[in-house]
Amino acid sequence: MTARRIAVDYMSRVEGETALDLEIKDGTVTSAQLRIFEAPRLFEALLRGRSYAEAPDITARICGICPVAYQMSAVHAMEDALGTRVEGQLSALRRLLYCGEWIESHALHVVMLHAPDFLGFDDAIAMAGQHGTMVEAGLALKKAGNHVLRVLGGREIHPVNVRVGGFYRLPTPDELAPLADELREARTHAKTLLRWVAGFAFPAYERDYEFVALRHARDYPFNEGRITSSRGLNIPAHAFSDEFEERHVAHSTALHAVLKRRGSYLVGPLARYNLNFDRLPGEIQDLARAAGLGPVCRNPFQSIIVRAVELVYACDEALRLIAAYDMPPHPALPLTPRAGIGHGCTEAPRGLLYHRYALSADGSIANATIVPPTSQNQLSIEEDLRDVAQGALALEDERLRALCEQTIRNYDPCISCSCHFLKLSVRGR
Amino acid sequence: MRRSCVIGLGNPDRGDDGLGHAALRLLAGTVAADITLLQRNAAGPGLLDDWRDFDKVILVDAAAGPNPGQIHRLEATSPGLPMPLAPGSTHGLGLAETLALAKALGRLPPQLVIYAMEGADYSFGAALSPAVAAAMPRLAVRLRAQLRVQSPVPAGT
Repeated sequence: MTARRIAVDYMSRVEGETALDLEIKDGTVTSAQLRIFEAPRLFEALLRGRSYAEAPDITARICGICPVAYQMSAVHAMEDALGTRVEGQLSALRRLLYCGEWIESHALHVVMLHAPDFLGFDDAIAMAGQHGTMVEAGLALKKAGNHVLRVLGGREIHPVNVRVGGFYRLPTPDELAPLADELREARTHAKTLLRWVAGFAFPAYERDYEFVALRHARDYPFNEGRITSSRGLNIPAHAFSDEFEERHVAHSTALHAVLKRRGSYLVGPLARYNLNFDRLPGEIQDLARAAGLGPVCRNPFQSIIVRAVELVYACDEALRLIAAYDMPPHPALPLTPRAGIGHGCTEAPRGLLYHRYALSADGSIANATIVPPTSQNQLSIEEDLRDVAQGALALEDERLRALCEQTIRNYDPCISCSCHFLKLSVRGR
Repeated sequence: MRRSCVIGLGNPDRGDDGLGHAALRLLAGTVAADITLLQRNAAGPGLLDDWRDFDKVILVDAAAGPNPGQIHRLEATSPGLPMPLAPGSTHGLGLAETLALAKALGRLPPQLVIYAMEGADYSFGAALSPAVAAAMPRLAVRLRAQLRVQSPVPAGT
């Protein structure tokens, strides 16, 4: 028997602490594990007993890259529990804030984290020598996205201005105007990046995933819509736990979420795009086609193109929302605490993010459930790894390991909210 | 006239990590009015924009080390960037990576000097530790001297 082990003891260019273990026996991949050893963070437990009003600020701390996603799922779940609904310009401002987060998060991943894999560089710094223009474009986009967070959220990381029922303070039209100038430039950068990544070489790999994403009656989804899938799922957020469950696995401190009846599924840009292509404006659809995408893309490596498409869309959408801004008379709806259960589901940059809260009569949180995108994608990541590695066993260890890392980065996994620079080791037997 | 700026890096709510901002407070009002003082919470690509218009840039940051209060002076443009001074974990780029990125993009300022002081205590909400607080006036003297020199002074001064 011949045995071979490919290990990445510490994944770089992902958010958080994770490792990869691949076991190969007699020419067959027998095990592919994404070992998440990030310490448990216990957010669901530490929310208990806190006021409903604190949830957006506490959960924002889960992630420094996508704090807005946590805030948005939290406020929608709380408003559901309290029997109210934020609409009109307050809802539009939330969408604008989310656009900012998609822009900063996608720009970071496309350029700084994922592109080096396709071009054979260790990291974006090494890549910057030859592809300086693209790195500059990515940095400018990230800055524009951060600027949206700063103006609407009060600061770039862990914004402080999101409130159940609306916002603490509303931006004036004069405060939004400079954002528009920067976003117009950012849009040009995003189109440049889209053309660039469309020209990368992609491994010929497709899989018949069950894609899961929100779908809205009219819009490409951020904050609203039903949970739908490519295999017919179509449920409101409050039915999430009827269809999905989280399971403990020994090799990961993150729970694995599965569809109860069918197992693994995929959330994130690829799922959003595939289930909502018809919700993208015609011009964005044309850009996607010009970049080589059809209305459905099953190659996870091409998720980098989809992210670039979403970058252009988020810039456009932000500009549209700014142009249509009409400052509301009040920053937030009045709320009355009551006992109840609320569910919220929004589209984080990395995919579906579900929150559920049970509130006591005084508005304190009795219990909380948070299901982030990366825990939903873990099983799909491991299945991809097994497949991709099986088809590439002829590669020497170093090339195979690089391909496995690239496969993981297709998902932009956000293990926690830290980004580590790398230590790699290979052990072969 | 060459334009100069001093950038203090760190989180003022994390004990000695606040020494960069504390240094700026000591400099305020005691250096020429055309010298820009910038507080930043962390290194990262934003620094490339911060120093875009300056010929001379001084970065002040806390460093890990066994001798709290000890001051290290590093030339960012000298070969061998101080990669060991990179913070263990951030959401983005640490100081060493930021400098490497700036170098790769051709966006290092003509003169960039780093003053790093070893800290002892990075507890939430803590004040500067006694050793670091005691060394701050010495750091300020060195920063003022650095601002007066017209060209990079040799390492070790």
